[in-house]
Amino acid sequence: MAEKQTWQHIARCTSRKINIGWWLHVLTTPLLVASLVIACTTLISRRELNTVPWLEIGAATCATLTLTGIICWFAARHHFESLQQSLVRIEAAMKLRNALTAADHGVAPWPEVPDHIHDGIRWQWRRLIPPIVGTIVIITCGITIPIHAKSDRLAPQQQPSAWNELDTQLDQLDQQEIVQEDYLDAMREKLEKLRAQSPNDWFSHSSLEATDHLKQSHQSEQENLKNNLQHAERSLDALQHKASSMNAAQKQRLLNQFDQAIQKMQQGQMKPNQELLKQLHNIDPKQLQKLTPEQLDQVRENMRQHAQRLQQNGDNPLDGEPGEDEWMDNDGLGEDGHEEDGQGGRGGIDRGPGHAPRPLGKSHDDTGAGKHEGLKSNDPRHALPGDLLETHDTQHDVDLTQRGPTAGGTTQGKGQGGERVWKNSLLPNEKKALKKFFE
Amino acid sequence: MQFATESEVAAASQHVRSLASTLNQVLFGQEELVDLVITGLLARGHILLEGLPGLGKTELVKGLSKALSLDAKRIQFTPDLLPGDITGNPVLQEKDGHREFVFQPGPLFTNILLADEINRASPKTQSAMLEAMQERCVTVIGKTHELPAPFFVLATQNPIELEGTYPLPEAQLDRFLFKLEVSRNNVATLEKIVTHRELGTEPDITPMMNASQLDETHTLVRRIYLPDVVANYIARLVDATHPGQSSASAGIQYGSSPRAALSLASAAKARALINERTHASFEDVKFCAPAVLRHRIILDYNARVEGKTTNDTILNLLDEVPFQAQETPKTMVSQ
Repeated sequence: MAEKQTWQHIARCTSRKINIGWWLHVLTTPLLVASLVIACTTLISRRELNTVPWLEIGAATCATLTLTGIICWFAARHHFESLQQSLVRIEAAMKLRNALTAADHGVAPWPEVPDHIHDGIRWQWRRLIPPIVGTIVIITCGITIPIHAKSDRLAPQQQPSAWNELDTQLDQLDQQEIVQEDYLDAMREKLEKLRAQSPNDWFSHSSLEATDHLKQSHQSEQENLKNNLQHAERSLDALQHKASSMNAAQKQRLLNQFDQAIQKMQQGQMKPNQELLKQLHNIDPKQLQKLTPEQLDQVRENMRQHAQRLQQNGDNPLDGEPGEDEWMDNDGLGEDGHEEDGQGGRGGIDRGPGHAPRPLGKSHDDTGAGKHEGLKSNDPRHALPGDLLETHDTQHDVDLTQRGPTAGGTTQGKGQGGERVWKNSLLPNEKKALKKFFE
Repeated sequence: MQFATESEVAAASQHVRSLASTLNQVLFGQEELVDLVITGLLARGHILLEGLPGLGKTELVKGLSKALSLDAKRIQFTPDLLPGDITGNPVLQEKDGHREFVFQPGPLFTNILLADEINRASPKTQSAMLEAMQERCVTVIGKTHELPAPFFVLATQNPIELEGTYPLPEAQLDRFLFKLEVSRNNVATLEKIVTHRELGTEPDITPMMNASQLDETHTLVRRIYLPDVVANYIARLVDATHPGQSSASAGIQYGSSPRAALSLASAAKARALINERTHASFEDVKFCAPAVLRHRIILDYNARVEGKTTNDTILNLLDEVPFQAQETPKTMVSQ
């Protein structure tokens, strides 16, 4: 009985081994197909979904592979070996002369179990490994191949940087409370109108032009306010400290300047904040003596600070482009210091550095058009009248044909060419023979 | 049917081994031939021996008849031999005042018939052997006469001097269980023959079995267990002999008949008994296959011109057809 159990155990192991072999044999192609499907699904998920659900993908992968394995198991079942068939395989391999089959049938006793048992088959790794490795590689490719999610492409476009710069400047002005809120609200409203366009139009020519104009007008207003504040402050300073040494005309000129500066500030779109404006309104330039020096110093200090902040805002590195604030006519100061890079003339905002050279600025050697060099065309089809097309050596066109005298005096005409030859050069016998031949 | 038991098989095997030992004393150096002759005998089959003259074919038959205590007769087949010469003829005899035909049995009426140079007889006479070999009876003038049991035909034919011979038709060849090729002896065997034999004298042979023991052994052979897988192997092997059924069958014009499969099964069982086993095996089939199939396969003209023989073809078939019908998956390889 021990032999029977041993042999049957061996046969069951062989049967299991063969059946797994059949399962793997049937599984090979579906496994590769399933892995391709998994890889494609993973890639599609990564492309379509904003956030890749790796947990779900992993679970689906496991489920697909498991399902494929189960289906293949059922498909391979008709190849599966029974215990009896495995006994036959073992007895054939071990040359037992069908002793196991006969014993299993009860005809003969079970043979003794030898020390070394083999079923005559072994795994063929060269056929087993490639599908498994291929599956792993395909699935790994599905996970690791670089691919952008479609949502990335649909993400909001980056808006023009000038808008952000304007926003930043407006925010700074708002925080510092330098200018009135109305101006800031109006500017923000214009910016919002630009943003309300379709993202596809954000970088259109008209949008960029509008942005450029908005930015320039803002900087212009800012610069005007700064200059007016500086003028008013300087005028007030002169009136406060040097009034005694001035004559009436000079005083009047300073008073006019101060008054003009105040008026410009009031007329401009960008007005100083309410507090400063109120202080300026309360000052009567003709009665400055009535104000205490402390009050005047405070007003001047306010104006100086405002002007400095505006100056700082104007010099904000966020402006980015060199020479952006050079649109202002700085009383002939020019823009030399900003155009040393020689990159001027490339257009407006976001379309290249700098701007076109100005009449008041230094002229540029480099227009940005690159180095120009004349090209010489040798194409005779495009030659103009008078162009020299070609030269070559040649000889004079001289007619070298031997000609005899054709007329004159008593000279007998001797003809031309061959006729002359045979008439003049041949011997008498030869002439006779030749003449005879043609006769 | 109850399968043969180990004790029965052991006893019968003992007798058969004694018989083989005796025949090996008669025919030196032909152990495999003797084995196959005894296998054919136990399988109740007729045997065609092919070999050059003087190799001991007649001696083997004589020794076999003596060892089995059976009656043996010899017919030298010639072209002028008539069917009646072997089957027997009715002879007019006077009996009780009346004259009547009385059947005079021919040399066919024996236990072991040595049909010497059977291919020299005319087809008419050869065909007279058909009924005797298949039905174990002869019919003369409408009257059937049973042949004595057991009845074996051991025919010989000479592979040379084929002029004036009549090759056996396929139908008659198919009646032979085995076609055995008697090969020449090597030097050691020849030396042994020269030492132990005298020209013109016959060796003394002690009978090892009698007719009833042989009959019991025949019954026991039928009770040998033929596993289904072995039967399946036989079927696949015979099927593979037909053109297009296997790559080894290239060059075969006609394959083997179902009678070949039956013969193979019977021979495998006999072989199992000789080897003291209660069941036949793949190895038994493989051992008997050349002898069973070599005269049942007809090669086509091209194969014959190319020098192929049926023996080569059968060896290729045996290599190609695996024992077990179950395929091995491609993820595994047979060692």
